[in-house]
Amino acid sequence: MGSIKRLKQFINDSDINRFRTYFQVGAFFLLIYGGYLAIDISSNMPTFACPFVEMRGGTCYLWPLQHQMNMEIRHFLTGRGIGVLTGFLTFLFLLILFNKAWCGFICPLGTVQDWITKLRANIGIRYGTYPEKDFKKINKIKYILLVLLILLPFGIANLGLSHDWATPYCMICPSRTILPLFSADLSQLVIDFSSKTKVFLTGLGMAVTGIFVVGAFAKRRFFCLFCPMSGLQYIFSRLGILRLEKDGSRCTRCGNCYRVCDVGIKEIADDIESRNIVKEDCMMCFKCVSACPEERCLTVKFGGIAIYESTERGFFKRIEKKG
Amino acid sequence: MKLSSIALFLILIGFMTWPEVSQGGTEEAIYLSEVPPQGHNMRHGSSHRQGSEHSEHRAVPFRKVYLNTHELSDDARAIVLRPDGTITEAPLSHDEEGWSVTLDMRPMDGSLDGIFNLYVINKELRDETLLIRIAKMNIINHSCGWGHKFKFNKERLRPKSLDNIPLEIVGYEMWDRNFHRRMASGDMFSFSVLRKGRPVKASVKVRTRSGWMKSLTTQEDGTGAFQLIRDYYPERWSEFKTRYYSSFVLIAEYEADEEGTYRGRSYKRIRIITTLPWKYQTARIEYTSYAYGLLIFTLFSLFTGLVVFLYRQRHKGRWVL
Repeated sequence: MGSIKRLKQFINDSDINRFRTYFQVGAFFLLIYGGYLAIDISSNMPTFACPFVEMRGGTCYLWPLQHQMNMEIRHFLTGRGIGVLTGFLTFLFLLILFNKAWCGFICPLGTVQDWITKLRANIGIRYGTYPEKDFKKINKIKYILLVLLILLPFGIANLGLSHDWATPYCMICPSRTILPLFSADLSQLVIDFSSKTKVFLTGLGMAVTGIFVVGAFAKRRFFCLFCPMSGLQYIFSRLGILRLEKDGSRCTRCGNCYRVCDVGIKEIADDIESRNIVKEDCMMCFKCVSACPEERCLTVKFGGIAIYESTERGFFKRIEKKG
Repeated sequence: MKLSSIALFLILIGFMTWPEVSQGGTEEAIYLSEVPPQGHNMRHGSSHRQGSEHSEHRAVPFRKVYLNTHELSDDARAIVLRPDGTITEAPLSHDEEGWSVTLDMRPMDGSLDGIFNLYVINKELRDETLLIRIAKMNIINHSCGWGHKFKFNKERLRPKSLDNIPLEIVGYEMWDRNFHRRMASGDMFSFSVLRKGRPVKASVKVRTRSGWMKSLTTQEDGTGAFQLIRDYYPERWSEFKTRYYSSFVLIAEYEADEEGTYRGRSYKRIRIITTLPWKYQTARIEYTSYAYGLLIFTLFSLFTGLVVFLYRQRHKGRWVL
């Protein structure tokens, strides 16, 4: 057997969840403490690298996007417009590279949710699954948030809205309140009484934080269903060179993939027509691939090259390891 | 008894206020400001005209700053220490608003991201004393669009001084890693006074926009510090703006017996007055509350927990695995 084939088999036999856990820890430290190592990956990252963390190793794209939208229309066609375009293209480039795996492998807030899930499991509380139709009703919220985070700052420069709306999404994002805690910074856990808008936004921020903590405890990756970054990523996810593909002819619709899916995507089991199986809430954690017993039914491809495939041998090896 | 108490009280008040009334070099000091003063030799900041101040988030190719005087000698100079360490001169101009300096911040490609030091040096002979008045200003040249690439560059972040400036105040911790002002009321403002690059003991006065003053003397190593007071009290709470900048000017004075000649005339004594203005915001603690934050967090956590519990109870055996 050639060395490439052996390497491929080794990867297909391996436990992607374990690899993902280690990768998440590394990414978390990089994005929260990277500044101590003078690391600044990008100011336009397609993940929640929160700007309220002082020594972060990069910055979430939603932060500059909101700032850039606070600009008079006529300025969009000047040099400042080039800045907006450059920021967007950087975001797009990074997104194309890793697609929605930014959520599953890198997002620090996603990692915190996974840790909360582990905590729940360790203290013996059963996890819950909830009907898809219930979540279908509410997961459009992410697009409403996405539109608002663009329109509200735009309204400051063009419609005379208060400057307190400059970064409306950041004010209610649980990343702002939770991620600085890992740097012993409690300064975001406050209500700002300097204006009515600030009272509303910071109050809503603390309310969302409360809902986030309990929600993540009750439902795996609860907040990802409402995340506007996830919505923005999905709009462009078809361009990604990291892809998750399904060969419907090999699917037996056993439902393993759906059962392990943290965000409860039913199409992963039911859809046997689509080749590209990256759905709206998918975070490309590839748990579905490792849970699939069918040979090459689910395949992770990078630039057209298969890098991780579902195999019968790999499936049973993982089952054996777990006992 | 009562009269003597009143007299004693008045004497004490007189002693307490006397140093403030006699303001020493503060009235002679020249200082730089972002907006032109309405009049001249007026209190710092009390005479600002309506006009926008510099944004520290957006860079511009030229910045004009104003002196508080109409009177400068012919050989007055404006020296600029740029963020990359290069030294240039800036043109001084005079109009009905007084003297001003226009700073060339180009190129606008982010290579000069950082702090410009601007010094206006004016010398004149008064009797047998050489009076040197220096107005220094730290000017932020920054655009968030440049990407904060110097945020870990110690050399770029470090407050700089020039060895040939007769007397200079160097402020510390004035800006953060992104070249935004970071001082807030309640913070300690620490600084050094340098005489041609070397620390010197000097008397220093602080004057805020509202007129509050404080006098102090630097240590032997030239260092000093004072706490920034909250200097912003709008009439109504609804008028409160977190982005409002209070300002102050530091005035350091140094005198010594030094002989020399200036423009062919000899002097026996030297007197130097130097200034450094800066701005600060009201501390967040003045308008934020942890208690309410944690209260809202707790209420919503409990509420969400209850909703989840009831949902699970209602769908027991159906959806909960």
